[in-house]
Amino acid sequence: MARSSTTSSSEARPRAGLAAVALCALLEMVIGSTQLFLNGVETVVDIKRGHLDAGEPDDVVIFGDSRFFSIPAEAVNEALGGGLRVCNFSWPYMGVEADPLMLEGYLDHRPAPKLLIVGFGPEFIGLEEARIRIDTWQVNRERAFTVIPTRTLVRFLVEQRQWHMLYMLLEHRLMPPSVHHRKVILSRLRTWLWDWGRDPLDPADRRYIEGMRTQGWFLMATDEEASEEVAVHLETYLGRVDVHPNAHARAMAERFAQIAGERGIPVLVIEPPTPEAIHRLYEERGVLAERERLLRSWEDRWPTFRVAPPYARHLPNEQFGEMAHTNAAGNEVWIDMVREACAWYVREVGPVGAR
Amino acid sequence: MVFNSLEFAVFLAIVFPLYLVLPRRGQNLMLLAASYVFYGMWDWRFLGLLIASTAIDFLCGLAIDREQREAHRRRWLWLSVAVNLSFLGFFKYFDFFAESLQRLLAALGIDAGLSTLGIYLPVGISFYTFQSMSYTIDVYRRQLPATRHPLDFALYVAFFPQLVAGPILRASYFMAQILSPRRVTMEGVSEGAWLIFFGLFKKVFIADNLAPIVERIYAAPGEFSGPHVIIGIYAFAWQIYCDFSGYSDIARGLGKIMGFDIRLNFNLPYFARDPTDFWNRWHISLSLWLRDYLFNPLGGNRRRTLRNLVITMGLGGLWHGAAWHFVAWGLFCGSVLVVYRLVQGERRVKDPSRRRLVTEMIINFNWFCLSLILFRVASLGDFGLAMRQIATDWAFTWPVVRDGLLVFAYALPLFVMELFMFRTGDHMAVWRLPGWARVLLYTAMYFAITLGGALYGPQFYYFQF
Repeated sequence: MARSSTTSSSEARPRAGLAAVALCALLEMVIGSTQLFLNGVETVVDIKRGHLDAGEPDDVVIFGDSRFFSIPAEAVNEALGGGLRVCNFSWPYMGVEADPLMLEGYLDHRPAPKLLIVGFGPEFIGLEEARIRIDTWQVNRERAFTVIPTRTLVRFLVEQRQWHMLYMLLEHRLMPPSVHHRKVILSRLRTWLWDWGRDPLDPADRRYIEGMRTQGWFLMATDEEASEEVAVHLETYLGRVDVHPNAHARAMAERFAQIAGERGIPVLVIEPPTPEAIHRLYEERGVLAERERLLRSWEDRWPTFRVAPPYARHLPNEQFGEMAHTNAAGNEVWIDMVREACAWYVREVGPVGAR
Repeated sequence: MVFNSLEFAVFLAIVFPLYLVLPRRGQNLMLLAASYVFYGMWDWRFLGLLIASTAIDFLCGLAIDREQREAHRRRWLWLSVAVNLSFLGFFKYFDFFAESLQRLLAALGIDAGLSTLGIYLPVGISFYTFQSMSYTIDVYRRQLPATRHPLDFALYVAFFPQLVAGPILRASYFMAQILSPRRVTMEGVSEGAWLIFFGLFKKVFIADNLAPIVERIYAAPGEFSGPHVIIGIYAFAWQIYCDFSGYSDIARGLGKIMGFDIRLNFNLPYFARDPTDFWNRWHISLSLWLRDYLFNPLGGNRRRTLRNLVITMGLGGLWHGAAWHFVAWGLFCGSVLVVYRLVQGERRVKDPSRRRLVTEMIINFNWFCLSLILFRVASLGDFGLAMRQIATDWAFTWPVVRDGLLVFAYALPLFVMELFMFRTGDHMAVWRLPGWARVLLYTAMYFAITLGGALYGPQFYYFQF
């Protein structure tokens, strides 16, 4: 029978264990500190998080979801008169709950900007609860845990008594980087082993990363992605989405407005474009009217708030690459909308920073 | 709270430092409290059951020890056995027997109107009732004096590393460790850490990655071809082994870092040469329990050996789960032992050639895998479907090859390590490798877990028993 145990006095055993722990820790640090193992959207999230701790203060910050990824900061700068440090701080969607937290986190780390450009579409108050919350889907949680500063998130979760989410945050923080990036690491390993020379990132991810690094913005959807399927997709989407004014979403939006309003930060609200099919649905369900009432109440309460007209806008379905993001043609229109909104703001309020 | 969870890591990060700074008495009290917290986190309502079983066996042990008259001693023993078996019978078997009786009567045309209660099975009840019962039986047999320390006895029953899935500890072996001071040494911590790590590797990297394959095939065995059903059972053989022996390794490792010695529960069972050898290596603590408290009292090897074997194995099967396929599995294993004894008898070659040894091991592994079909199916009906597919449908498709390759890939690293252990005759052979080799191996195992492990896999398989 095999021996089961021993009391050998070799001291090399604990030492080898400790050496293995050190080696694993070192490799984890390498994995964690490089963007090599991030996919496209993760790279964007990582860059956004990095921005909180680096560089000079921003004059203008674009706050919005992935629909704002395709807005060049330079276009905004020009439209506002030029000479401004504009940061496109948009992030991939992670629930409406994340918006006030992103603002709190931003203000915890950086001085208040001279202007906040905020994307506020009808879906912010008109989606079902699951889509509003950060904790429903793993992808939302992962993004929120990465990009929202820990202190801000903990404060919010304690206040909301979201104990399970707090536990998941702890778990996320304790998980080594190799667990977070396992998908990409394994995909790269597969490429290196079996398909040497092939780009391990898929074309969309490559486009996001290169766009982000070279110009600070990128298209989420390309023309190739735009097809007849979009219409079908939209129909399917409409069948699945429960759009009604939602109290929790409204509370979160109020929280966002309150943070900016009470600190006297000028805010320009822009509605990101919606495909006409979805727009119609929001209109029928009363979400657009509800949104307008809310925005007007903010304008009344805080003089620093401005909502760019029109209150509700949409683009033809053909100008979308998929159901949420514009394609190249649609993006030209979308960029023009942002330019117009900025120019309108300057006309109405004056140059940014001239308060 | 499972061993491969953050909750347990936090739990251990609190318990272990406390354990290091407390004196022995304080250590035992703290471990008892920690064990109750550990158990209570499954379902606090069943803590009462655990405490009741402990209290009754403690008092029965004292009474048996004090009593000189044999009849009275026996009465106390029966009280302990009856209470433990009642707990087990009610929570684990009531619904099973009620349903079986109902079916039997219905087949006879009688509507008895019996209904099941939908009783929720308290985790670990099969393990701790057997462990607790062994204490009163040993005291009755005068193999062990009754302990006068209720809290220490409670710790023996509830010791968290092995509370919910064994190994089943014998009081004659473990109470002495609880009552005397333990030494925490660097060597012990190192050995324990390796066992914990090795157990996690088996569980998270192998067992939990094989689980989906098994689950998919055995959820509907009638829909898969014969080769696929067979691949599924090989996958299950490695899954259950890695799951259960992984748990036992972690339990032993946790004991080891605190200075306790928990005996080996799996002794490289897939290297067994024959069925008798196999049961001396698989779930050893249960095999020994059944041998000492069931097989031997039935007559053991002295008389009616073959009958005793079948009864013991049949009841062993029933211990695993309240379903007829478990009973059938036990009876099948018992029958294999009987056939082996009849055919092989005393002709077992003591020093076989390598070829013979390998052949014996392969045969032995395969009869066990065959038996596992009975163990894994959800019902005897599914067993029939699985056998029908094996007998009639031999379609070899890509999914069969793919799943076969996956089973091979996941099992291979462990097989190589265990082969090394077997050849060196040392369970800790890997832990005794040269430093550089261990650094590389540990690092590879660590990344196998983080990159390839099923980190949110299913619970330990034996929790359901």
